[in-house]
Amino acid sequence: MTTPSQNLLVWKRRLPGLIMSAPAVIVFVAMFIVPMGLAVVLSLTNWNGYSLNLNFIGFENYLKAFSNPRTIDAAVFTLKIAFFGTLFCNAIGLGIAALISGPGKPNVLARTVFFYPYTISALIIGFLWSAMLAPQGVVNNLLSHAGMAPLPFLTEPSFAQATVVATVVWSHFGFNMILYIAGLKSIPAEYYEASTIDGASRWDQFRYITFPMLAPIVTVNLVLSLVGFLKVYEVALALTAGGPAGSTQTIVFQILSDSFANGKLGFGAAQSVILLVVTAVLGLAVTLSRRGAERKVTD
Amino acid sequence: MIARRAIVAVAGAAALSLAMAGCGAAGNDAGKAAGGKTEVRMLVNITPNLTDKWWNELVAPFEAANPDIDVKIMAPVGKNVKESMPQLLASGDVPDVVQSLLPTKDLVPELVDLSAYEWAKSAPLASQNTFDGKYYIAGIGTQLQSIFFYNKKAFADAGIKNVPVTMDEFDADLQKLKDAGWMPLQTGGDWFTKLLPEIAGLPSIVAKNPQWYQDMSAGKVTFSQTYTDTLNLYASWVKKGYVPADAVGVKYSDAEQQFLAGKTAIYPMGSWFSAAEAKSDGKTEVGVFASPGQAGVTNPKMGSGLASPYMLMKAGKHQDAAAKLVEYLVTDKASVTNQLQVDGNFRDGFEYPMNDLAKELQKINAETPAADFIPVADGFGDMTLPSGYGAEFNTQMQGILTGGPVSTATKNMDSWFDNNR
Repeated sequence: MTTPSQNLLVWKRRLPGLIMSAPAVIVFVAMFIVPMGLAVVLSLTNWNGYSLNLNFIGFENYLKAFSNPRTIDAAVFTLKIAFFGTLFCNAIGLGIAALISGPGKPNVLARTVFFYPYTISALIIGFLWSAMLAPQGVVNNLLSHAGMAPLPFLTEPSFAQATVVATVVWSHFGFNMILYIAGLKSIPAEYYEASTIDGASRWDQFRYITFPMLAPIVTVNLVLSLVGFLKVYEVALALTAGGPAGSTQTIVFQILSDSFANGKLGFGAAQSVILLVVTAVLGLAVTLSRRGAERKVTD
Repeated sequence: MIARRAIVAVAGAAALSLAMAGCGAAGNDAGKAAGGKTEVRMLVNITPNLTDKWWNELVAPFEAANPDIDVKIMAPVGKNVKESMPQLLASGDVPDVVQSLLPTKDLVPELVDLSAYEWAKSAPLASQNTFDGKYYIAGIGTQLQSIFFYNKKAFADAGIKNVPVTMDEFDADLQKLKDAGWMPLQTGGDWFTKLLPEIAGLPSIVAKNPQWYQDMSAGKVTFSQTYTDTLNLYASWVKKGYVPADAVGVKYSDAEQQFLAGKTAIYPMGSWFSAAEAKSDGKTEVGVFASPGQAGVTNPKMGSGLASPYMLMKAGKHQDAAAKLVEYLVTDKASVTNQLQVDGNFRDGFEYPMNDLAKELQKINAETPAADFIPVADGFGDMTLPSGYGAEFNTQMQGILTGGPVSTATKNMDSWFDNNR
């Protein structure tokens, strides 16, 4: 049992930390918790963004979200981006990291080149690729000169969806690559030396040493990729404006369109809350499913 | 030592708090400009034509004539004025005057009723933009939106001597143009895929049923009942190759350039295109005609938009001064002419130096009876459709443009109306 003077001493020790972290906590609460709470409240109304009154309509917006064809199509496409984007970004990022993680100027240059797209604004990337992949853009012009038929990168719905995914992967894999390089550099060299003595091939080393030892980095990459790709918006906006025929409209695109262009902020808020829950569940599911692999590393 | 650290931390936090409070304090004295003048804040769309500099020059004569009023031009905080309004209303940072936005049923409670002002009641398209008989908006002119621009050389090459006045003639002319080696129709992706079927169909649809907007909103008629014939015609044009195969991937600016470069024969677009045509190199000689009537329609309506509408916000701080400003903007000859000219809009009795194309548009505008002007897309005044109709219509038209069946488009539109009325 502690005395009052001991309690005071404990609080005196904690006080600087609490005061120092107060601004960050205030900002977090103000910029995340409060808006999230407001979004939940708005999702239960039919607020149009103009009216001074809020009419509560219960869970009507949520029911509508699950039955609205536009929302469903946008959600399905967003899940496609999240799945394929995560898969390819991590596969390509890890593969390239394994090749260029060593020292030397060529490797350093390669890392810079591969990371560079990640530093460019998503809107710029969308506009850039839109110009290059347009029906009469650079790529189709080159194909024509080579005697091939132009490809419908932005004009055929399935092709356009694949184009959006490819553009997202191109712009993001550099980030995954950097994290994997950091992970590779943290693996003790003795493991590789010992395995070499035991006659392990490079593939054996990757399979039994590198990949297992990268478990925590893999988890971080998977979660960050998944969560990030569920929010894709700018690339789709600049590349295809959600077309053709709404085929490349992502869920964030749909939310913003419903909220501001169509004046249905309540409905948009409901979709936002659903997106938040789905993102949290998926992130948690990946984290929990990776615990076994991470435990093996720490053990 | 711990106590000293705690004191430093508290002092630091206090300083930070004061700094943040100082940031928040700025701007709390809005409404009074320097020198005790009344500050009227006007939210406007900033475009390549309507620059910040242009707006300030537009209002400068008003400020000179009213030395106690200072007009502050505000740019949108979002993508455009429409998307900025919810944020401004929610934050309480409401401008006195809003330009370029049409009132909707949701927005009307926030607007000043202008019915007492004669200048509002006599403004262009005033009666079409009323809500329950009240006036909430005043514009400077009309945008024509059911028109086809055409390449005169293409028509000459195809042996078309007169512009079509019926849709059957129009359809036949498209084949003549194709036979003469021209790509008949310019369309594209982006927001304007819908223009071609809308321009081809809406004027006749509303001519047959002047209550179409109200009936659609009330569910008395359906989209498929009224639009199927038009969409079948549109689909036939796509199938016959009257539009570029890759059109859906063409952006608005590229489509405009393709037509001006002489690559296509007919360009469905609004009258604001005349401003772009005037700035072009003039290699393509362009004419214009109103949308022809479909079978049985001799007086197709004219899709239109209100050019540069202005509204006053109830929450604005200076309604009298704002009303004076809007009266100047919509009635002063020099002001109106300037606004008409910069964006290629028209108003009977207001002339500005026009090229031949602009004169043709002015003629169409002058010859169209006032009652024949109808809205397009989501509509205006009491003739409105559920919010978001234009975007959904555009999406479904892109479906047809990419080869999808008309039945899918009409079914989806009917379903959309059922879910959004």
